[in-house]
Amino acid sequence: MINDWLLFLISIMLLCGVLMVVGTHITSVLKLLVAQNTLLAVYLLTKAIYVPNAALFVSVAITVIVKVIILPLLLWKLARFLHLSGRVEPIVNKPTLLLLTTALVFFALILSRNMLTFLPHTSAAGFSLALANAFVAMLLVIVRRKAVTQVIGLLVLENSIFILAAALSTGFPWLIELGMSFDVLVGFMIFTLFLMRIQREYGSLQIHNFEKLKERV
Amino acid sequence: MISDNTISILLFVLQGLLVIAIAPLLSGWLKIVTCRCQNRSAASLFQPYFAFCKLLIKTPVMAENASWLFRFAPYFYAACLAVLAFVVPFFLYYGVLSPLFDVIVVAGIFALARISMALAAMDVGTAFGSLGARRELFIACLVEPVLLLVLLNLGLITKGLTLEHIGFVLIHKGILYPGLAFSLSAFVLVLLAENGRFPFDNPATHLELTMIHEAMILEYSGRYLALIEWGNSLKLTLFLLLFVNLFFPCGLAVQLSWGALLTGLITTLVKLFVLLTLLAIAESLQAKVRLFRIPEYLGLALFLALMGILLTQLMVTQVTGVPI
Repeated sequence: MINDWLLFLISIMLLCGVLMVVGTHITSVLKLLVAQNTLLAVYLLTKAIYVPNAALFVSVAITVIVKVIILPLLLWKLARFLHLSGRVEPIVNKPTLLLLTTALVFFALILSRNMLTFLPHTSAAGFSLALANAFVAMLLVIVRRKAVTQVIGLLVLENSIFILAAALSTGFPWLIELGMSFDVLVGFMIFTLFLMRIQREYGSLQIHNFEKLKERV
Repeated sequence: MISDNTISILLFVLQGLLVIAIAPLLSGWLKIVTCRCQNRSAASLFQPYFAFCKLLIKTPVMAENASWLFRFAPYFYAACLAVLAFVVPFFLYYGVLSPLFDVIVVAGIFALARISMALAAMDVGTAFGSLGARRELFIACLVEPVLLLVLLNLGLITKGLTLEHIGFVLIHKGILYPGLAFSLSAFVLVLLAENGRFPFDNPATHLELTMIHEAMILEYSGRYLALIEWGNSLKLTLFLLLFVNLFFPCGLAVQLSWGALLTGLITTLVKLFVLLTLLAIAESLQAKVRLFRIPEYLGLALFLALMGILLTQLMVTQVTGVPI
């Protein structure tokens, strides 16, 4: 029962990831990201209740504080600051994108089926879903021309690595976890400064403007 | 399991009749909540019944070149949906006919009802009729594969294709399957598209640019229109019942005792009214999309249903007991 519930939570996280790939508005993608982070917190909380473990409780606390409260607030402010309310079209059209997503999920599932010999059998299902989520996150990074979705894609990728670790064992040691979440925060801040700088210099966040940053030889 | 005797068969028939009877009530509730959300004063909860009675006493006016098909179609439409009312679970976990019908037949009867309306709309040869029929079939050809995939995914999870079997397994083994989350979100889109609800069609307008279902029934009046209206609310009710009782089956009566039956009735009604309220709020919050953007939404539904099946079929079945 508890296994089913945990798997169900990961699958809803994957669903959020898939919807993020096809979402057209930055604000809706941000809402989905918040939903995914909340699901991650619920996942860790369920696990911490059923396998009482100090490290897990610490990671629940870190996840809630950093990912459910601080990051969404910062992202919201960033979106308001950069006026990101309009549509952001992906590079390829929607059906192709959906086909790619399905292919990636398929690939992840097949891959983890073939890796059954190395994996402990109990964690294989969670592993396959988390792997699919990681693949979808990589698609999210490359699929749009505006720089903000790259940051969101990185955050989703971080989420899925987290889930991968949590599915395979009882999660990271809490020190590493603390380091990781600060990593995310610091990375996010650097990205924010970077984006603001780009916005000021070029007046837009289109990726092709980044080409001009290269030094001419 | 429920034994076969006269009382149980009577109960099953009563369940089907109750589904048919409360269908307009649910549309009435949907209209009330929508009105409240949009700061309008609402009509009575029983307004659909009054409208039905009013339409019954009016003389139907026929188009000059209407054939037998035009006159026959509303009866056929309502009869198809009335048959399905005896298939879906309401307070018992299956309908009296559901051991006979598997989910493919259920999807097929929905298609039959729709095709009868489309043919009748084309029959009189007005511009609006054929426009509505073409749009309806355009949506139908995108919706039907998704509906089938969702129902087949449920069949794959429970290893059986009748609604009776699916309901039984889901009640006893729980609903927490990874593939089911995807099927559920696909089914929401199917529910909205099939019933002409908001992002796909506006059920309250007769604006020629946007109407789909209303364009098809524009030529009907009197008792024919009454039947069609009742059929529409019955269709919405059937989809809502499939939704709440397949994906959230808790509380349905599995054995015949008064307590179980009462619990089943109350939980289903509560689920239905909560779902309708959510539907009304969602409808008030979003705008209708253009006709040519509908394939985008239904394509999303198709791929979600497909991913649901992929997850069901390809995920490694795990040993239960130890948390992962």
